[in-house]
Amino acid sequence: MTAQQQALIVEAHDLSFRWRPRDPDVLAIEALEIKAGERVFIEGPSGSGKTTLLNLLAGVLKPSAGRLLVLGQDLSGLPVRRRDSFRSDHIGFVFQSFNLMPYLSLIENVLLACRFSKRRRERIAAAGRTPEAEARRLLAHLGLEAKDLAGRGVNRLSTGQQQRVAVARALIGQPELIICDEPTSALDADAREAFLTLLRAETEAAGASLIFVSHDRALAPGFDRTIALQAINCGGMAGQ
Amino acid sequence: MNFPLKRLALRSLLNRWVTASLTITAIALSVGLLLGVEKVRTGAQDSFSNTISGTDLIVGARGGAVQLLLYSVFRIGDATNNISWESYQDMRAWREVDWAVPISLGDSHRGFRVVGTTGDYFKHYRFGRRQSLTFNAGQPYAALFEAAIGADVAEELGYSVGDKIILAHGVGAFEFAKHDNKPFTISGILAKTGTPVDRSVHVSLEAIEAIHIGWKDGRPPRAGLTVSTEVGAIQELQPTAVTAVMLGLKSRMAVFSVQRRINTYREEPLLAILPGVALQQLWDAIGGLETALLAISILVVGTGFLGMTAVSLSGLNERRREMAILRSVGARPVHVFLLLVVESGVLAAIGALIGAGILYVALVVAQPIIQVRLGFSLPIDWPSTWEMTLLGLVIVAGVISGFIPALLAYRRSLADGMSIRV
Repeated sequence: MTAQQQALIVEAHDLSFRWRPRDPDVLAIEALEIKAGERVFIEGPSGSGKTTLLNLLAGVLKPSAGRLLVLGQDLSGLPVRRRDSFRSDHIGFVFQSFNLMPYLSLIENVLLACRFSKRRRERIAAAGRTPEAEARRLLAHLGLEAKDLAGRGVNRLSTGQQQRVAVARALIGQPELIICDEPTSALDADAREAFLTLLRAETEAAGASLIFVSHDRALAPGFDRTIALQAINCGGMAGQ
Repeated sequence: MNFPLKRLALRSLLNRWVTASLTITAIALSVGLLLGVEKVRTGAQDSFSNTISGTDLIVGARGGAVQLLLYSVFRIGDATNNISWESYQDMRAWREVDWAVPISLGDSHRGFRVVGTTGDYFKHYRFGRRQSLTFNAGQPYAALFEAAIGADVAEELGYSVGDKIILAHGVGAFEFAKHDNKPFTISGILAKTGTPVDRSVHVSLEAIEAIHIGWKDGRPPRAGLTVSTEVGAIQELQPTAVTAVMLGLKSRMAVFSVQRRINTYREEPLLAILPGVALQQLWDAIGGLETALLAISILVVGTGFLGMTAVSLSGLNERRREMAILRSVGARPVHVFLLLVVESGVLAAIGALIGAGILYVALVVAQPIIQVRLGFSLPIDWPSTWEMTLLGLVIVAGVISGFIPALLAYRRSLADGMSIRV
């Protein structure tokens, strides 16, 4: 293991978030650590503070109190603009469903991640590729031959195919952290298993850490670690 | 930031092409209307300001400048006094004067004014862009009791060359005293000019004298007195006065000195006006309607943009996911804002361009019709600076109306973050 892999990708201490100063905490986590390269399953039903945690990790929301380091970077100390570019440089997202811009082609959807991130473009360039070639390579790797699908509108893809395009977009330019928010909930059982296998393999190949959030405990096997959000979140509606 | 917002906006619009094209249609039509109104407005003003062109000075008896303009050019109202024949002859002989065309007013034919003048009138009268009078049929009067009538006179009264008409004394609607012992033959019908010439009956100065032989203080002569209608009699029909004189100078530089000379003329109290200046003053005084038209067309454009804003706002909910995806890949809220503003700008720009296109198509179709019906020409030129400014303002207005949905999307994307709330 290299030093980088041993480093913590997420480090939270006494982290709390509330919408307004007088509101109760929506999220209160005493300690949370995720090591680089780790594949973590965060289990949480709706209302457990899942969305809030993801928005905090993404730097969209700012902690009300406590410390949150992502890749060793204290996001709360950064101006909004830097948080946005930090997100685009270091974190890839895969949402529940409808991850794609309906009016962009497959390739363009993947390239969207590079458009906002100079760092991703530089990494692709460092590997001696063009962003477009890299997008095609990733799509092909994920079982999507761009030349067959490029002409098609993304809305004609099956949900499973759409989710794979989303994974390609998350992975392009090698961000350190991939965050998935219920990416399999719209998939049937077979597609779900295939998708999870692919996702784990690809993140490993890319050397990225994976945070996978879902309410579905059945998905937990196959991850390095499972964290029950209800158990660690002392705030909000978690206890209700 | 290497992010082609414009391309993204275009693709997004293309994806919603039905609503986008409807919005563009609304904007294009309103812009076409605005430009059209503006074109007609400037065309009408231009045509009005050039009701008479090529004439450097109009001379009449001393009085109001607008009054002189009204009776000499528009044939509205009456002169308070005349200019003596001697003064006219004197001015004509001045060194700076190139030509002098006298007009004599006071008679009418079925509501249309009769203008007694010389043959030079047809030679020197200019309207619009220095266009000369032309004849649709026939020619200028040659014989004493011949008349050349304007296009409207011919059309409204159904006259053609060779018809006989009777002039009436005075200009009232009801013809009390007719010169019915001396009918005139129509020698020619002038082409439409869009000026008061269309509503005039032109005869020679001598004819005016001839029909008034024996008249005293505005009363007809006693029965039995008649006048020969032979052309040979013209020599004895020397007028003693004219109503106004149109002057053309050899050099425009001399306009003010000649004007001063006339205004300080010793023999007779006279007034000289520059027709262009007086026409502009008159237009400024009466030109309220055109401003109202402009205001209405601006409101129509505003309505188009309100429609665009409404469509954009109502589509915003469906696009929350789109915004969330953009946020997740690192787009800042300001990008979301700009995306929507650029979209509105693109819609407005395309609408404005198509609107300008509509104007030109309409111009090509309508130009000949307007020329014939209204008598003024709408030039088909490249857009003027003012029209370009208008188009620019339309696009700016479009961008600004994009601010409303953009601000809303901005605030939402701040609050929603990357969570997709549907």
